[in-house]
Amino acid sequence: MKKSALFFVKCICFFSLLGLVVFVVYDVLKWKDTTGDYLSSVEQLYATEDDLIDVVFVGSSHCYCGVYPSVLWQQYGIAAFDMSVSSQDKNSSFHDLVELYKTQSPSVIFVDLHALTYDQHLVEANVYRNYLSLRTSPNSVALVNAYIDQEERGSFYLRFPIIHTRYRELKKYDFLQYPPNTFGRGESYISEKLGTSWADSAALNDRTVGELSDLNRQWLLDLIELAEEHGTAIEFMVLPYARSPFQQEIFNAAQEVLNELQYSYTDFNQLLDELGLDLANDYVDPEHMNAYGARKVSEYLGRTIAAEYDLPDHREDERYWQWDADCRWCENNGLSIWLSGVSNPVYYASGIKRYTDGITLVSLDGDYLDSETDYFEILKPLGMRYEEYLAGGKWIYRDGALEKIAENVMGAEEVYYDLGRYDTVKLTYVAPLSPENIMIGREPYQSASPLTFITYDAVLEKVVAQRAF
Amino acid sequence: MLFNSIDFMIFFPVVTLIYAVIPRKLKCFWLLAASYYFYMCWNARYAILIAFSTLVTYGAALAVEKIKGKTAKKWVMIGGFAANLGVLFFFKYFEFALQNINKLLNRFSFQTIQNPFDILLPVGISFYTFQALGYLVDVYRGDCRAERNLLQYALFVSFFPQLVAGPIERSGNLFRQIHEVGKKKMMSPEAATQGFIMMLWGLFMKMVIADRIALFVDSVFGQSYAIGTVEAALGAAAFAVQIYCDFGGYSAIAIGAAKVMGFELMENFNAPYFSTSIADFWRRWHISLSTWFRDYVYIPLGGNRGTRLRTYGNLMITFLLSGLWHGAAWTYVAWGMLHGLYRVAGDALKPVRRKIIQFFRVRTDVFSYRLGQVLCTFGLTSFAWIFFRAESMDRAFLYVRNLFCRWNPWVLFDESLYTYGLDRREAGILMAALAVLFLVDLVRYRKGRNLGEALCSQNLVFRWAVMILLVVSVIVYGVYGIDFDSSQFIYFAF
Repeated sequence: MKKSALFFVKCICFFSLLGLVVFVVYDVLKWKDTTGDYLSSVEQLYATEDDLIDVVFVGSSHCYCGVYPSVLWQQYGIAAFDMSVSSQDKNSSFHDLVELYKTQSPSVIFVDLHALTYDQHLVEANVYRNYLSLRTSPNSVALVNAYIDQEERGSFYLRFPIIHTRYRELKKYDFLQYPPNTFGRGESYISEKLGTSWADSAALNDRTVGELSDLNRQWLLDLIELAEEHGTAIEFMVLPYARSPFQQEIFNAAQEVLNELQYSYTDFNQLLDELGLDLANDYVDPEHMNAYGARKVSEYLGRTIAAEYDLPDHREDERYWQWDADCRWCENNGLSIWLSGVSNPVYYASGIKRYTDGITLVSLDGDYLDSETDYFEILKPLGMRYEEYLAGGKWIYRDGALEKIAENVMGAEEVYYDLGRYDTVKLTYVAPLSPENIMIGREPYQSASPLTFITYDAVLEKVVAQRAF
Repeated sequence: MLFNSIDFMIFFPVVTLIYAVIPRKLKCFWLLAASYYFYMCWNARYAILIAFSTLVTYGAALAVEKIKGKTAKKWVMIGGFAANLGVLFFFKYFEFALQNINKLLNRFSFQTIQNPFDILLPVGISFYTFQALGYLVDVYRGDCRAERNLLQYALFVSFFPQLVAGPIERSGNLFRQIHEVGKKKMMSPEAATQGFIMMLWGLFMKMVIADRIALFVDSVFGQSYAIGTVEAALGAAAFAVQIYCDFGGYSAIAIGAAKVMGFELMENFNAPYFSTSIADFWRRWHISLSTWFRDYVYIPLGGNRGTRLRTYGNLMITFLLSGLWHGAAWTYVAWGMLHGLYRVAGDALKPVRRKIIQFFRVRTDVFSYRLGQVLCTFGLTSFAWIFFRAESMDRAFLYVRNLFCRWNPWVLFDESLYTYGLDRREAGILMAALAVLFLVDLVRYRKGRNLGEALCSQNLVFRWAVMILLVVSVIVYGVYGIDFDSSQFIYFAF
């Protein structure tokens, strides 16, 4: 082969290899989060098979905190997807929908109108989060062109000038896919409660109609046009939260425009009583609902959608496994949060029986036989036999079965049990109730009480609850 | 258009690919057009200056060659020098001169002079002016013939890889290659590979080391009023590394870029911090400039041919001018003066050193002696760099005072050093990068090979692995783009 031809071939090989390595590096450093802590509705969309989604929600954090597709699935078998992202602005929601239309043909889109209240992102980081999570395509380029100043666009197109400093914060899920991103349907599960009502700080009854800017009006028209282009129905809504008079006036103006155009508009602040929303307990803060509030709003939306649209029930269809997994994830989340606060061991034991993806380590140690508490009664429903109970030891409860894995014998051989891909529990018996008797990773987990429950979530790959009685 | 910009990443491959495929007779023109475009990316009006310098030296050189009379020749050359240095003075030194005149006028209570011009220093003016003047002197001395082809001469002055930061090329070396452009194939796979590696290495030096260590240096020099001996010493040493990696990195990219296109530019840095004396340092540091001053200033002044006192005078003049060449401020002059003094003292104290060595029976043929020399030289150059880096003479003296008067060894142990711009992680990355730099310079020092040459003599797998590692290091650990700590404000819930 001629020298120059050989050099040419070598160049192609080298640059191909270099491209591959750079791609792998990019995959580690790239943005993987649109709703907080690695949870990404965009990643979830990319993990979804073509043409499965029937109902789409777009919007900001109000939306992913307030609308749970799992509720619609559980109750009606509706294949809904919440494609909201943190502080989703007008451009971002439009181009996210364009991205969705590449693989999906939804019947109806619900647009949360919070984006009407701002033209610029309040937090610069949200620009990166919302603009760099889409895969590179003409659509992502168009999104950048629509919002970013010309001199900064290069950094957004190339991405590395922005994302490369993420080497300072890399964690496990920068190298592995965050499990909920493979099946999640867009909601973010939050159970904390605000504790006080926000009614006094909000413009709940302000019916003043403000002015809708040209930019806002154009956004509504663009969304309508996009939906019509794809033969999709479109509805508009504003989820319930503490709004300022300025924000309320914009929404009132939007309502007028949409009424004129004969498009559905729902202001959930006007439905607080109908929904039975408890402003102290159904919110995590005055702007965001928690899981309890989200359930009420989602149930309402489910009823409306079921009544207005003739959508099929997909619950028996295997292709929709992600909606099942999503429901399970929501349920597990609720259970894990409940378990970590439960003070009654009987309740804990019944909770872990319902925890589908939970692996619970049960430790019975110390002078439990002399205790006033009847520990056997607690453990019996899990399948513990009395002889086992008398001997004490360590058990694993998973998939509805209790399996003994270690005895309380000093000097016994160490026992290792894999909880997940990256977590192993090591059981030794140094002394009664010694913290080192149970080690998960490098952390001691044995409590000073006779009965210890440690529940590990096999999907989230972490210990989600630990209680001692 | 900086070498470490996206623009250059697009510009260079495009220029090189077109240069490789176009007919030979067009290559020179293409390189000239690309060079002027490259220069005009900073400011299109700057092109007038480089064109002026080109035309003046081109015409002067032709005239010098044509004119028979020695005096007339001299005057033509002086005219060429005056025109070029006049432009250089106006753009680079006018404001400095005016400031000093005003200080004097102020001292004697005269009215000061307002600066009527708003002068912006054109990029690379010192480099191309010196290159053009070097050529004029070469023609005057008869060391090279005056170039007839204006296009080729214009390319000699403006060749883009070395236009804005050198190396300041000599007429003999670069003209020979420019003349060959239209005659034979200059590009080769080996040269392209070596050049590409040098470019990667330059980017690594600049973006991973220089720009990272700059965070520490800026922090230390910015707080020079508060620092103690340890921070001051580390700050000075860090600046020594910063300026080497910054300038050396830029030179490596320039040399590499030229090499990809088949041009061999002179080496500009040769493991300078392995120098065993200040004289050795100047044989290894900014070689193209130091040899320029040697050939066109020091030797014409008489060099070391006169008395010892005259030699020392010549050395001092050369180093003072060299300092002034680097920038229009007294701090640069002080830096040059210090190096001049080092050279003079080094020479004057030679007999004393020799006697001490004999008296204590110090072995000079062992590693420890050379290591001592290297450390002493590094210490002296680092000390001089304080003046180069300081914003003013007052700040430099403050820094020096704290260097010698605030002994605070505890900062080496209480982790407070991590508060000077580089946290523990960044300091770790820097240390790893410095270890790589040390290895590469050690190979350069021991084997006389730059990284491109050294890697090209290795197997393909190793070579590619190193090249890919360099690319990944630059794109991940390079200091560029939007520097933010996303964990501070990204991973909150909403």
